[in-house]
Amino acid sequence: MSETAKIFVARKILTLNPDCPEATHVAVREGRILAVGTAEEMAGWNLPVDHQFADKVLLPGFVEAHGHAMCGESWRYTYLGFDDQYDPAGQCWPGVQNRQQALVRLQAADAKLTDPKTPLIAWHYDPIFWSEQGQLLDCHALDRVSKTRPILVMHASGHVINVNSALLAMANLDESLSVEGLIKDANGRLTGELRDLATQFAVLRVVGNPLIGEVDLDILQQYARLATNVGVTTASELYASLDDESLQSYRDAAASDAIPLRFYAAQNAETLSIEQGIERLQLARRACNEKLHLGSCKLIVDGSIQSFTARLAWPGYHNQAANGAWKQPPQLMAQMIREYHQAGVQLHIHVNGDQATELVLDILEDVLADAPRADHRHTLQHCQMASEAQYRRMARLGLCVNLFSNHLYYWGDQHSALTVGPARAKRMNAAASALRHGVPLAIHSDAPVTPLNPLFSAWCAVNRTTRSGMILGEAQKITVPQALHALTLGAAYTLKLDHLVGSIEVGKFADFAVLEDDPLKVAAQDIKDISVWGTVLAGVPHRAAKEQASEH
Amino acid sequence: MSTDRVTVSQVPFTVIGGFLGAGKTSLINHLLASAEQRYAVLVNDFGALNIDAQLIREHQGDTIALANGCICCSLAAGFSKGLGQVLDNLQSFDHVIVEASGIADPARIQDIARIEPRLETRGNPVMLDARQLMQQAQDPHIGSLIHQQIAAADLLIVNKYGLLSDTERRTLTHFLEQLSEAPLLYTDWGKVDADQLLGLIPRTHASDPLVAEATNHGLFNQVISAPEPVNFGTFTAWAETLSDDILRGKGLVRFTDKTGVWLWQKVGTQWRLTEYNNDISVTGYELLLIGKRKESLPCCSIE
Repeated sequence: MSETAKIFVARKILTLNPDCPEATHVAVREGRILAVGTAEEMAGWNLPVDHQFADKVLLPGFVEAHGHAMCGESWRYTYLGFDDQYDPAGQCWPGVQNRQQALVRLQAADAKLTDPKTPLIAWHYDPIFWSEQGQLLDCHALDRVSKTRPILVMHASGHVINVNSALLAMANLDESLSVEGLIKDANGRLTGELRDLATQFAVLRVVGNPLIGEVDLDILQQYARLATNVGVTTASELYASLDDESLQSYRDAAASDAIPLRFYAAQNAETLSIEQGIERLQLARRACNEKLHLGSCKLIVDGSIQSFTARLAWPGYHNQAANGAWKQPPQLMAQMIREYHQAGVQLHIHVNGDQATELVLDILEDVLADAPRADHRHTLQHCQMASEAQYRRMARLGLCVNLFSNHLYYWGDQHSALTVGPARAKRMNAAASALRHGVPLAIHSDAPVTPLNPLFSAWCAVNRTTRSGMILGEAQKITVPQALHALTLGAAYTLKLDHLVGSIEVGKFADFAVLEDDPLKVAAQDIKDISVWGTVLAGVPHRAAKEQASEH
Repeated sequence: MSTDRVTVSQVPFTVIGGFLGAGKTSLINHLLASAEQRYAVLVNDFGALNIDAQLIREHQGDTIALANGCICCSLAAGFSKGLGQVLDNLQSFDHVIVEASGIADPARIQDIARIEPRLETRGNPVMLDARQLMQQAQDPHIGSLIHQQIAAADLLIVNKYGLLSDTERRTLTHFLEQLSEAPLLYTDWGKVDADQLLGLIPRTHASDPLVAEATNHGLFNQVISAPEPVNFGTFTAWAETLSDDILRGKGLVRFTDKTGVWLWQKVGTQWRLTEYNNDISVTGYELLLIGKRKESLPCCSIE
């Protein structure tokens, strides 16, 4: 690494360090923080002074405690999301808001593919926000892009796929079939929309399996680029497969100076027996180093609220939809939690609905009574609907919570109108409750579900403003300093990395987010618009990629 | 563009459903050990399988190849990958068997065979744990799942049946008859004849309001029983005062003032008694009730 010992001077340094909350100078050596404070306090070190950040504001590097490396893979495919989004090269892809825009983008992507057999794959299609509901991407529309090349469009929800007629034929899907999820129009003709396991299995057999969460070195590198662009220096894969090949990719990424990111990967426990899972984690722990943090485990209890697959307690979904689905039988979930806990593993547990939260609290209460463990730091992930009583239980059981505050903006209007109704929507992602009850708090993006961008996540938790401009729960707003804590030290705490990253303190890694403006000085509604210069990782600056916005 | 879906050779495809602990693993052990055909079996976790070491020809990653031509493939790397591997080598097998996870809807997996021209759909057997079923069916967390699996089954295999008393056996049968028209097969240790299991014809599933109720709001059940007969007048008074929340009832009863054994059946607010086989080992009464709310179910004997 090309880092040399030096002192960075900044307009301001927000340290998240109670002994010195604000500073102007930070000295770094051997990738760590040597000192932080004033010019006078640096005098004794006799180190060269680097003025490149003299007009910037430094924060501890942001920590994304619930993301997915898959967002590095997603940019291999054509982006069709509703909102503008930046790719790893810093290029802005304008949001796609109607069929015409989608077809223009798909046609451009089609023209770039030379082999006529190569599938054209697109992601993050989100038609629920389109105003022209009669003009969607059905197979007839997609046939205008190509009648011969297979085209597969994945919805932002992750549950629905749209394909063109060529791919329908290749996958043996035709009108004569009567299977669940093969959507037909009023005249019984196929629309190209596929909603269930069997139909999706058939098309994925033809085009391969994009975005299933496998990693390679390139995907991790792209993930790191996205992270650097938004000031993130530690990012997680919270659904990792740690097979030999993937593990090697993580090791290679961590070893590469060209990849300025510390990786944290929690093993997906679904695909292994508990015994195999524990064994694999022991193996993985040996691969840990300063840039690679392994050993924890991810469990998924229910689905998602916007897809009506989360498990809700009484009175259930506001629109009377049937209750959601358990990802594992509750009995098996109890066994998994118990055995992983007893093996000393930290657990990240996905719970969206309040019934799922209740189930996990019941299980953990039993498990912790039988096998108490100091500082287990099991963390409820998403936990979007927890009640006050549930927060009180989390506090008593020593749990942390990592909230999905970005939902408030992206689906807040839908939650209020359809999924949980106005009363419960007001306390979704109840960050203020977590703090009030002393539950250690982190906030996340779940990228690529929503874009990786901590300043935007902070904006969501602080302003609680929906896409339509409605304020969703004034009482659950938190302050900017509280939000910044949740995205640095708070997030690091849930990853058991708070002794290494998350604040600017002597001895910790010299990882900084370099901002163009001071988040404590700008108006609270403007924090998402602060430009990010880039990051410093282990004392080495890395500039964010910035390119001109253009239509592709 | 409708194509002829019947091709030269089709491999039958069976999905075995059932909740955790029902005995699907025992069933698969039994199938593999007595296989006379080359089965490709997809399981959630082959760590739990008990395959005779002498039978194993090769153990490679997510697949175990057996000397009798069967393979056992773990779905560890994901359902699509596991099934994809089997479809790539379909010519090597006579039957594909998928063990559905405890929370899967077997009918949705069976749809794969409706689409894939080289596969032939077979009916879905669903395995049930005789001792736990009635409790599972009213569990707030999994009750609706159990009801859906029962409703979707083409054959209900009631496993661990030997552990039940005579009354429990009859009550359980009455319970399942309320929820499904599928044939019932009683067994222990997952021992089911392969032909019975794998030769099933899919039946047409009529939608049942009881199943819809169970799926949306959950259902509760209660067995009211006593070894002594009951007075006919007392019984009819009791039956009349049952809450409207009680949707179904079925069971056998002897009266102090009437000879013989009687079958009591209740649907909605209507109930009737019909004479039943007098030889049965019922000395008093055993009545199964299914209702919408736990509070509405009587919990004590008829008085």
